[in-house]
Amino acid sequence: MYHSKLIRGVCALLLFSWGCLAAPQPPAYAQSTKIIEDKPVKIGVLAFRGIDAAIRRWTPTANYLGRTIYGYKFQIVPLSLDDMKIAVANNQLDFVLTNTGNYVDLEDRFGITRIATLRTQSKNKAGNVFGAVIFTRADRTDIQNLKDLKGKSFMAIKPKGFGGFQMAWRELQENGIDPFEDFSELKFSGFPQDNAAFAVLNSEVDAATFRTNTLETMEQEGSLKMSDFRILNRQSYPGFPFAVSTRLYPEWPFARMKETPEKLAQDVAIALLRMPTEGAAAISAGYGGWTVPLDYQPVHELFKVLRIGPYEDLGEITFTDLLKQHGHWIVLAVVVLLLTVGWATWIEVLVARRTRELSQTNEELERQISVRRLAEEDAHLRRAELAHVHRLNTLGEMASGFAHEINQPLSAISNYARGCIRRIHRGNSDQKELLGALEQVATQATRAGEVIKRIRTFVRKEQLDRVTTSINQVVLESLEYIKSEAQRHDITVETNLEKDLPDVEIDVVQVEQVILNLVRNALEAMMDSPSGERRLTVGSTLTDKGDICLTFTDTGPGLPGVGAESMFDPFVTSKQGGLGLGLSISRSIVEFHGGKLRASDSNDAGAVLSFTLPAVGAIEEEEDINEFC
Amino acid sequence: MNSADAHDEQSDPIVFIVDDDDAVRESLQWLASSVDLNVKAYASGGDFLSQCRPNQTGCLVTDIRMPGLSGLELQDELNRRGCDLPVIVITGHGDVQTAVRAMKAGAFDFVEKPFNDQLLLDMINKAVAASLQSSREMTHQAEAQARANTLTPREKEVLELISVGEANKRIAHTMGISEKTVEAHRAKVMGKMQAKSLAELVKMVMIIDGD
Repeated sequence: MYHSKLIRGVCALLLFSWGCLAAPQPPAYAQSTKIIEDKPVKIGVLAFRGIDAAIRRWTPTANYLGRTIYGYKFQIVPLSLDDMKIAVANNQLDFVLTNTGNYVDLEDRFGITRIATLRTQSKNKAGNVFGAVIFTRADRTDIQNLKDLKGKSFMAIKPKGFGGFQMAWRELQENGIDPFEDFSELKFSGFPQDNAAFAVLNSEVDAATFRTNTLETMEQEGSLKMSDFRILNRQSYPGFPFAVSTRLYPEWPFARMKETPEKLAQDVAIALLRMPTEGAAAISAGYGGWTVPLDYQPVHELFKVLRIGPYEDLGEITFTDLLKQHGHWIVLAVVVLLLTVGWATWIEVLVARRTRELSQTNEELERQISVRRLAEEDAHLRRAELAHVHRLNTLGEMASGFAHEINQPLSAISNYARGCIRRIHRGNSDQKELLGALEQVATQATRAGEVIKRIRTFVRKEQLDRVTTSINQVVLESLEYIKSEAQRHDITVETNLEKDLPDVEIDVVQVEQVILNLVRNALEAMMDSPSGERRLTVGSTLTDKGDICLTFTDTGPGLPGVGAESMFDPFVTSKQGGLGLGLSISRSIVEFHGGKLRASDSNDAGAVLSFTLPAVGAIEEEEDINEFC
Repeated sequence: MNSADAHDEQSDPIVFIVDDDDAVRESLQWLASSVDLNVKAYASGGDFLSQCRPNQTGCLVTDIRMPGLSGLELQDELNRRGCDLPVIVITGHGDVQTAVRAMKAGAFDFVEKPFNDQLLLDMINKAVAASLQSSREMTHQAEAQARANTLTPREKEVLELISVGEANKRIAHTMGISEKTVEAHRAKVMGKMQAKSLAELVKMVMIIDGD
């Protein structure tokens, strides 16, 4: 079944490309512009639950785009999987909104490109990845892992379902199980997916799979209990709240065609990213807005491993099989192929000429890049210098705090020593008692020494020195510096640090400097608040995008009048005697680490400053979109 | 050093130390107890207030910067409770402003950290002496007041006129009684007030009036 579709797809493509090559092609840009002027912008959507449902679901999104982007009208074109492929091949669409598996197929075949990824909404939590869950009845002690499924009966949703079958297929295959060979029976329930859960509950099949969050939703609706099932091959991913047995894959993408004008694609991307979560468009389609496009490489890998979708022609099909089944198509394909080869040879000549020109351009580019790299290194050095100067400055401002911290042990030492001398002079000294006091002297001397050591560590380092470390550890160590200062001003410093966060790769001294700067700003802002209401909360969380986010919430008077944006500019300050460099340096340090720093008023009184840092091993973001935790 | 006519319930003077820093507090206790002072130490102003009796003699040595009640707030609270225990405030180095505020609010003295032990001990001794002196005066006043309370209204009138230096003749005239009667009253007043001389009597009146 797959084969015949594959062949038709290949031939359609070849015919199409032949047509493109043979006929003089108008420039893509001019053609697209014309479409937009005369006709609405067409968004092809996969209508997996019928045409009416698709139109109902997505028209508000089209209307939203029309309202947001001046001069364009948007129209939803509901399509089946096969029609979608034809429409894309024939250049009848401007954008495509389809499921993850289908997207990867189209990307591979027609070079369509994602511009945003859907965020699904469930229980107030928006997510942009999903997986599949493989489960059996909780009382099936004979089935503990995927390997135990050999010879058992299994139910999935649809043969071509991405979450409804293919995801599980990949995990099964990795565990040595071919779902088409090794099961006693492989059934497909079709929609609604709920049937698969009931089939397992009623022991009609031994195990089943469908996409994540289905079991949780059914439990919420009261139709079953999660505890009645055993999740096989259970995986856990930070920030992912549902039972899952497979890898995670990105949600539905919104994609542009190769020919879609750049400017329009950009406007649509920005409008989607700005779409309010609680707006009519998001609500009617039941999703939580859009996020920057994710990496669909894991989907490609799945298809490659399973040899389906764009990789199905890698399957082991003999030439005679093909000839037998699709002889006439193959003859046609060969003819087309020969013509294409001829054309390609001529192209080759053109390419060789062009390559020479390109390599010259390339050399020029490389030279420019190296100049730029030098400039960047210079900038890093300057930033490190500036940060060092600022640290010295901070240290100066903190001097009275450090003096107090050193004075405490010194006073104690002096008191103990003098007390000892007086006792010895009076001759009423008890040796054991004196020994106790002398031990205290030694302890307090060490305490003073540690304060001095801390100051030195803070000031000394100038060179960038990135290490992989736990951000919570860095936060706790930074707070040590200001503990006594906060205590003396009767300010409660609380932490709300998420456990088991991924590590970060940072220059510890510089990030400590940022933390210290934000904390000290908060402390100073709260000096005039009534005693007992001075509270600073430092929190750490993992964002949806997999970044670490630190927040600093105070109970001071909120942001100063200078404005949330300009407060990060150098020499802008609301503090008397302040240089106005702290936030500007903090921002440049954070951005240098690939994060973002921002400020806002808190829901209660006070201000919230937060910054993000990429976690080690997180997906690299492709576009620089302002999105915060 | 205790006054002979001190009240029975008056206890020995105690040096109270309030400091949130364990090392500083314990070392102060060690230093003060090396010169035979009775020392009690507390980690917070609240702890101290809950233990301190109103007519306690001695002095309070407190750090000015502490979480919870600060040294200044502790001093205010003592004033509010009518406790006149002398307060010695310990300030950080160079913290002149707070020291001045403490003195204005009625602190006995202040000392900058790190301090000379002799200076602090002298200060403590002075404060304790002042506390005892003040306590003695309080006792005298209470006694004189108790005696004055036994006088009849007529005798009180006579006492008042005597204390402003009026002669018997003038008193008789003012009160519209005979000089003889004045003399009788006067003898009664001297007796009830247990005054051996006119000077002693006048001094008692001044103590009662709070000079």
